Amino acid sequence: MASFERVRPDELEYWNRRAETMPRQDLAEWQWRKLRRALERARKQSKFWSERLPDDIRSLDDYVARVPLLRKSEIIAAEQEAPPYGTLPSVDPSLGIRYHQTSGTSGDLPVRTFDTPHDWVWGVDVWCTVLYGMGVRPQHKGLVAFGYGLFIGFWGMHYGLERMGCTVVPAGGLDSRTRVKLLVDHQIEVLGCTPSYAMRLLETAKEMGVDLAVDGNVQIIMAGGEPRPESTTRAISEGFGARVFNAAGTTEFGTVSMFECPSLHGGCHIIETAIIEEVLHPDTLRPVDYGEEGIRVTTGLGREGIQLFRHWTDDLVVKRPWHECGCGRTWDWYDGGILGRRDDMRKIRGVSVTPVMIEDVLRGFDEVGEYQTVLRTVRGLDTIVLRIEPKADGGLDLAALGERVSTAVKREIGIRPDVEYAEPGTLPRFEVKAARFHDERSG
Amino acid sequence: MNGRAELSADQEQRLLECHAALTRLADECEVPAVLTAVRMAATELQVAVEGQGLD
Ligand SMILES: [Zn+2]
Repeated sequence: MASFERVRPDELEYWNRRAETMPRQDLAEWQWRKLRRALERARKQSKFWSERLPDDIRSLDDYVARVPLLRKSEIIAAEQEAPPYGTLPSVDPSLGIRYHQTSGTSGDLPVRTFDTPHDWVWGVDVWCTVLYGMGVRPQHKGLVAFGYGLFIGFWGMHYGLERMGCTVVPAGGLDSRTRVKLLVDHQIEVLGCTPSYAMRLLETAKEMGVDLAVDGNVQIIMAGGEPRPESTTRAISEGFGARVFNAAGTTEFGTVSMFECPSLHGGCHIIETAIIEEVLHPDTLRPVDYGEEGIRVTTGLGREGIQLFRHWTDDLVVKRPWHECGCGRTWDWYDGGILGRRDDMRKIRGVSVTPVMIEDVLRGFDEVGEYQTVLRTVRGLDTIVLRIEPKADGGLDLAALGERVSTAVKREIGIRPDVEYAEPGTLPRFEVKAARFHDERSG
Repeated sequence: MNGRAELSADQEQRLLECHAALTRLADECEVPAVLTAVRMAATELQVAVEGQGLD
């Protein structure tokens, strides 16, 4: 759950005060104005959308009532008609200046997108909203620790820092030791990476005899890209001596769409001038109220090349009203950001379990370095098997550790897992995307 | 840079004029180096205009 900090009105600062603090009624009108224009464009210029969008949508309510939900499989199918982008684009793809694609996990084909110059400038400006809101300022130095590849990931953060006037260290293609050294040598103030990779950096620093909270100068960590439990956020914050912020975006939308403001611990404001977010019940597909869990459905208001109307994200969220945050922004927010993905949730003996739930328990054990969650059928029963990599401290009583882990998981989640052990350094590490369940169950 | 500031009416007007001037120049100019710079600048200003709800 989020907790709050009231900020004095004279301390409130925004990248774009007009957009971030406009009254809700004005915001609704702004959204409708942008949406109407986006719909017009899509109907006129995209074959896919011209066949899907009614031509006489009269209001936001009318839009929600009449435009069908867009599933990932439909995006992929539309792109497959004439790869790479198929019938989707609303402009000639040769006007694109960037290409990105999703990782295509779980056997799916990747979703492919491009950005026009306008799309990219817009997307980077949205990133600036986020970074400025987190306290990043032009005099700061930033290091972005991700792969700089096809995945859009933190590309926008790199360009956002640059655009704002920060000095950016592009730490792609470097090992963790080199990145730790860069953080210390340059006394970097701003770090961007996934929560799991931030944990990895702390582990590496420790091996090097570096205490990043003392020897480093990181003050702001933009740790996005995957759901994370509160215990992980705390461990990162303490390890770096820095404030850890959450944010999330999608390749389909083209940039970041929600972020944690300084007064909102554990929540993410929706950037409502850039995106319309509905939250729907996963089965009835009807909107849920503030405070109820549902799936987020997104409509992009900024991109001109590949447009997005009522995209079913599969992300589990709980929306809260804007006025419950004291930062002055009039944007609603998600408690805990994205709580998980519906397709990552597994039913084990009648209990719904997500990777984040397991991580929340495991991060409470200092003796556990890495771990992997395997779902396996044992004697006909669905079973959670935790493969644990103990930290290489030596002298650990593995059997006792396994028993304590097993008891804690049973207490928190309701299922007693089997525990196996792996040699230190042998389990896979993840730079992007949280470790998912490794499902070995039959059928 | 001041994160508490808002655009004045006069500044709004000048932002729109700059954007219009750059767009016109981008339509006419053929010198690759200049055209590219002007187009990028116009794109930047367009995003600023949209961000103020002035489009
Ligand atoms: Zn806030």
